[in-house]
Amino acid sequence: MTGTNRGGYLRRLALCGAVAAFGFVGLAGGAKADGTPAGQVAMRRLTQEQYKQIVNDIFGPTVTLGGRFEPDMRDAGLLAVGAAQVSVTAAGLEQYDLMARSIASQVVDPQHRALLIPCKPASDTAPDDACAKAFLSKVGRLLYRRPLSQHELDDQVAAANEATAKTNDFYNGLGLSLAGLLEAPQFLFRQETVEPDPNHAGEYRLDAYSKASRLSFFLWNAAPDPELLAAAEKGELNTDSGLKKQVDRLMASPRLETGVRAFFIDMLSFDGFSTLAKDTTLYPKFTSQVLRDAQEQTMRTIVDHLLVQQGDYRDLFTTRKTFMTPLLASIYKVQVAFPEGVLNPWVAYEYPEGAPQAGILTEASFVGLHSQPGRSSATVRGKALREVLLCQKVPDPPGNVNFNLVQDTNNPNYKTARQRLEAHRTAATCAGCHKIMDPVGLALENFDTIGGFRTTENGAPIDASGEIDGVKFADVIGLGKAVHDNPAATACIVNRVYEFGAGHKPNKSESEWMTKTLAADFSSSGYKFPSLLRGIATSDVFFRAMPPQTGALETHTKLASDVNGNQEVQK
Amino acid sequence: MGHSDLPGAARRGGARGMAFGAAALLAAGFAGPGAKAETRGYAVSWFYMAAESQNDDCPQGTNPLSEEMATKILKGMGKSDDEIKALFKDYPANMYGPMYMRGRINGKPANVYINPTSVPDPNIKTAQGHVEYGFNLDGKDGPNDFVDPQTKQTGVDDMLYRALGCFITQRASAGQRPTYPAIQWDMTRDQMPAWIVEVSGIERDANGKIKDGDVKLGIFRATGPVTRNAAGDPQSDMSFTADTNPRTQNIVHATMHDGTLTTDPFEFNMIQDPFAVTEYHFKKTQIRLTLNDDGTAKGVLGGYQPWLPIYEGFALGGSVNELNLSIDAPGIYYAFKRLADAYPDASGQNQYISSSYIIEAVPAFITHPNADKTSMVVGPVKLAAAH
Repeated sequence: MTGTNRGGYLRRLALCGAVAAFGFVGLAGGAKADGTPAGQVAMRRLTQEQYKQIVNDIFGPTVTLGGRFEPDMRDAGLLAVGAAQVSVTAAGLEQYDLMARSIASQVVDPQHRALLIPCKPASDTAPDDACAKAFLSKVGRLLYRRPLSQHELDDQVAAANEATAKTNDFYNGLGLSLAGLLEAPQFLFRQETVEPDPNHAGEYRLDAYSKASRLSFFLWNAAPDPELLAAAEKGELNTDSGLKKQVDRLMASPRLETGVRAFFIDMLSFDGFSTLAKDTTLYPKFTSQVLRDAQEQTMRTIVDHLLVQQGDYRDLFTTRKTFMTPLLASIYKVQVAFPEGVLNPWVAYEYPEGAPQAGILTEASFVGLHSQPGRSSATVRGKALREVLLCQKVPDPPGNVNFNLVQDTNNPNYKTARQRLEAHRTAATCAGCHKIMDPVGLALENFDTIGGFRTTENGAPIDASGEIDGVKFADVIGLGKAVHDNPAATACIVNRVYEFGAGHKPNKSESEWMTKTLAADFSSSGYKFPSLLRGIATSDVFFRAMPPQTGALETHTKLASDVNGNQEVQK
Repeated sequence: MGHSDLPGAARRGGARGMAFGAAALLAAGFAGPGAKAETRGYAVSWFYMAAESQNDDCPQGTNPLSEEMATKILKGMGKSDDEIKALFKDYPANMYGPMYMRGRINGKPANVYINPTSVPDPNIKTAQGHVEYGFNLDGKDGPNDFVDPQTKQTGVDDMLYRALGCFITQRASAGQRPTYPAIQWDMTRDQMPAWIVEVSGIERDANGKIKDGDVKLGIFRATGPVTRNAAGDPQSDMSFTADTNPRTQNIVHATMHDGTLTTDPFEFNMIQDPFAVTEYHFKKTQIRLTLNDDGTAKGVLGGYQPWLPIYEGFALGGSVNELNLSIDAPGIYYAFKRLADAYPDASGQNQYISSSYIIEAVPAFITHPNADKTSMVVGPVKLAAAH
């Protein structure tokens, strides 16, 4: 790619990031004129996993990534929503550039070109319009999740030709152009486009390619495959039968598991594991392998229960069925017969009746993630349970709180977390919030900071009784049942799944639709998770959009102008 | 479940039945009908030569460290001071070769490790003390016997310590592990299948204290190794499957007293990693094992074992072992031969030497693949929590 061409991409990328930072307010959603719910469209930055998946899908697993990704941002409980609020920093741009050039150079190298480039140039040292066009149009369609416009394709071919002429290497030129595609905002950001809805005058919907992307990222956490893009191209996604056919196909694919995992990794805040640390002097069982196993255990529990067994979502909080590795079994202190000769084997396991562990709340991923490095934390766990699983907002603590009493686990007057928190709660400023967190979190006190079961703390017996939303329980098993029966749990999952797919917080009309229709259908299905996915993916609401608001667009236009102006000045 | 119950028992309530299964399988005759027999499992975390070295048990001092030992050997070989000085350059890199071939058979150089008698007996210093862990294996109390510092038993037989106890790397006291035996175990346990231990037929009184009486001890080899935790020690509470190879199956009656079991004499066989001793065979073995409230166990194994494989374990490393450990290989060969105290061959030469080893173990779950039920369910029990 020439300097001019690359500069153009970088400018567009910077502009794109700047616009994204404004969250596309121009397309704010709400109820449309006829009362049909319609949401805002979003422009979301690809997550690390999505980027990797797309590169893997298009170029295969032997093409590796270099560089690192910018941190994601959580909004409304989800990174998927936060993805519409983030831009690209200058440092992040460098990394995208690094990765793009690395990927492109691998794709065109002698080892890969025969497989990945569908044509051979007439000469390896001269431009070849036809071959460049064949490759760039094919790959560009997959990367942009839509066909390149003629203008875009011409630009890319011209860039490749220019670079080829200067380097006397067709593949080098092609690679530089491919790198340009890989760092273009059209690839890095999921840009959704709306169009007038021909079936409903005055209303808007996502265009077919945006629909395809929303579906694919929602169900597979990946870009649309060629079949889905073809369906979009033919207009099939704009018909009920065509949409249903594609949803059926996507949901029947093993790749649905990838999408479901992506959702729960996001919802359960598993990104927190990347910075999770434990005091291994106090808890020597905690190793990096345990860290990985703990996340995978919960993922396997969820996937097996929701997809394989087609179980009731609520039973995730009470099921005795899970999966074990040798290290996890040692933490839970359970006996498991593992197969011989298998490195870190996974084995299905069912806790016996009466065991203190049941449901994902008692798994190391939950109690371990929501704990301090050297001790458990009833408050953090209570807050997490309410916010993550019940979608209830717990206010942040005031800035002047004295935590000394809570953090001192060696105080002989307050041996257990319950005693320490009771003393802490005597401060009026603390009592309000702790009242909604602690009775929930204290029920998990039978689990230490890495998930090991215990009945005492500092020699004093642990009282794991509590109350949540008016329901009292005696121990963590009772807590699991209370969460299972709490309407907030199912309302929360409906909300989160929709937000994950749509990329925005539901507006009032969408919320009403979710309550009246989506949640009711979910309930009627017996809280089957695939039913919820299907209900969203085949709904009209999921793809409808509010019309652009002129004023906001003007703001964007001005912003774009400013950004372009700045770029020009810098030149 | 009620969390105020005994935690170990309560949280394994569903598996308690399996414990009875294990008791029926392995401790038949000890757990009577209706007896609440408990089975506990362990993985051996450490197994090493016992040493309770005393300040005065090497009255002529300890054996020399490797530089001094090598100098003496080279002089004995007729090397000049200049030759020795040259060999000491980049010590011990240049020393390995000459040390290897220092033997003489019919006047020709010979590999001293394969032919330890190809050099004269260097008469290494041996331990002269009388304090050492172990058992009175022969029922006698002779001048070479020890007193166990724990049990105060007299007549303790441990000629292995007497042979090796004046080498720095074999000495330890106050519960510490002697350096080289600990290294041997530490290096091999990641590769070799774990040694696992079951104690079945345990009964407790109303306060949770282990009752005195009959129990059964099983020592097996697992199908996989131990796993290290973040501190580098064996992870506790891991699940193991017992190897069905009969060469690694050892089951013996034991008597429990004050939480410590002592076995009847038995023959103990166990495959090990070749780095130390390829295969252990102990005769007249006795084991003393204290079951700690935190779920761990620690004790002593005593018995007679063939001394030649012990020598071979040292000799396998050749001059690298000799120079790094400051242990004169033919010296220990002669010492073993001289101090061996049991099972003579036709010539009258004793083939076995009395020895004591320390066993340390962490709680583990054990499954027997041929059993119709899993056999081990009990991990650590915190007695304090039961009250």
